[in-house]
Amino acid sequence: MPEAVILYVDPDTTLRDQVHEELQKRLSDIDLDFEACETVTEATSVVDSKYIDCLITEYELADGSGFELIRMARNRRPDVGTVLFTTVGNDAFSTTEEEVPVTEYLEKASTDTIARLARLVRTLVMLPSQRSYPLPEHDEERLAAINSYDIESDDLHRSLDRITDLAAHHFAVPTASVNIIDEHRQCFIGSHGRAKSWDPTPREEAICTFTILEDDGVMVVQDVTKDSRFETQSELEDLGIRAYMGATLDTSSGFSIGTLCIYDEEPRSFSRADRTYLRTLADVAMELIVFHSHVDQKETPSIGGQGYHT
Amino acid sequence: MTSRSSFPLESIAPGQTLFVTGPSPKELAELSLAFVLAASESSDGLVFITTDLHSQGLLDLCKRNHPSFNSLATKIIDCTGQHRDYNSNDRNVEVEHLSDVGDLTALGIKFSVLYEHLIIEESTPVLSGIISLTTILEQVEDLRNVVRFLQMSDGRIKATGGLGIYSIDHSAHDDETISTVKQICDGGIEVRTNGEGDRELRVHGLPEQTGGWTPFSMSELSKLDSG
Repeated sequence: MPEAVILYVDPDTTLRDQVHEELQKRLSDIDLDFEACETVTEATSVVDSKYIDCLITEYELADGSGFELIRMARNRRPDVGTVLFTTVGNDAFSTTEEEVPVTEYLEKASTDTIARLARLVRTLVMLPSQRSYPLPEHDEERLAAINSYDIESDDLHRSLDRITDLAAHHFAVPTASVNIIDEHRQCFIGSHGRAKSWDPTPREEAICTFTILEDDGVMVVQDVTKDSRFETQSELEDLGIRAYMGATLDTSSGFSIGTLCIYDEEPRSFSRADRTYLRTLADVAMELIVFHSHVDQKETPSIGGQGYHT
Repeated sequence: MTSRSSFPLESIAPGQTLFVTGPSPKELAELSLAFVLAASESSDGLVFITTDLHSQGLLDLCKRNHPSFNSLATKIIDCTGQHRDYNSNDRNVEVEHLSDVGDLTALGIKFSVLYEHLIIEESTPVLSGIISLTTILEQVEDLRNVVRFLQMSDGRIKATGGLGIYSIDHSAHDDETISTVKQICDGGIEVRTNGEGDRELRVHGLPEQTGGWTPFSMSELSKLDSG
């Protein structure tokens, strides 16, 4: 049964109870964790404490607006689906202020409003319908494939570090990494140079989010400041990323679970031979992941197969 | 939910989103409208987002090329910034106006409002056309916001078994933007004019479709609709 955490923020306590009851009834095929509160401050505490799949909010809250709340939630959980569920008509609020978020909207007007809210929540929970990036076909199976490997092994990380050392040396770049693209984040399981201090990043900020969609499994960005997908992300330059090449880590079933990447601090191009070399190294990295998972399963059967947890 | 057909697509699964790319922006608008209408059935609802063609012009084009066009189940978000009078028989068509096409928050909210109205009126599934996505892409600085808006629209289309058509002028964008739009869509239709001045199309990314370039004419789309 799919699971989902729903946060509903509304000063109307009676309606909160009604919505809770109705969602439980209409979404009984989903394992719902329903949280409710009435202010931005309370909602912020909830968002900081757990991953929210769907945020439903009134527009007028005691300590801020629904837009402020959605913006806060998106900053912390970029993939969260949001619904502005409000008595305020759609022409009554300003959307021209800076950084007002894209969101679903439902006016509390007619008798079947809560039923329609439940339908929207189902869409937001079951489909990636407010993500800011494209997803691979069959992403759920790809995520299941990630969980079939033991990716937390320290021995594996040391082996993958060596692969990134080789890649960085070959391409004369300061930084390289092996990354896993999980449901919401990019996590680093092998690193060279500055990547050793990198924390996991949201999937929407990761270049590799696009690499795993490439048909031939290799993607080059000669200059991130001139690429429409990344040009607004100044944080990439702060990390020393100006040029990029990544090759996918592909399972035998054809799922790209992550990437091997190199990063340069200046714009540069890469030759066909460069692409082939990185492709080969990525294949070796994937073989190491498979090999380590098999060894761990044999040596520590009580742990092996538990997979990758974040 | 059952598949629907629309020349040149032999079978479109419920909930698909398709890009249409090709010739001049004016032709592209006409073709995109034609693809939506040729795929529609009498009980379907229609939502159009129009950025360059005024809503009355869009309604005129629908009626001229598609005799069975049902304006009662049609909603429009007019982002042209033009305010003109409507023909007397079109005054009941629900039209939302948006002066800034780059305001994706307002666009998303208006899209949700009209979509919900069609659900309440039981005009479902809903078929939608964005004509054109190019204008939106040109007005929004962060591509991620456009993707979020399209994914939201896609979610509604998939949930209700509708169809989404996104019109995009290939020549107006860099390869990365085009590639991102294609990655969001389930497939697409590429249109070109060949050396003899005839139109041809090619289908991308959808199973069970004729491959390669296929000649066609606008009248084939209209005939299908009137049948």
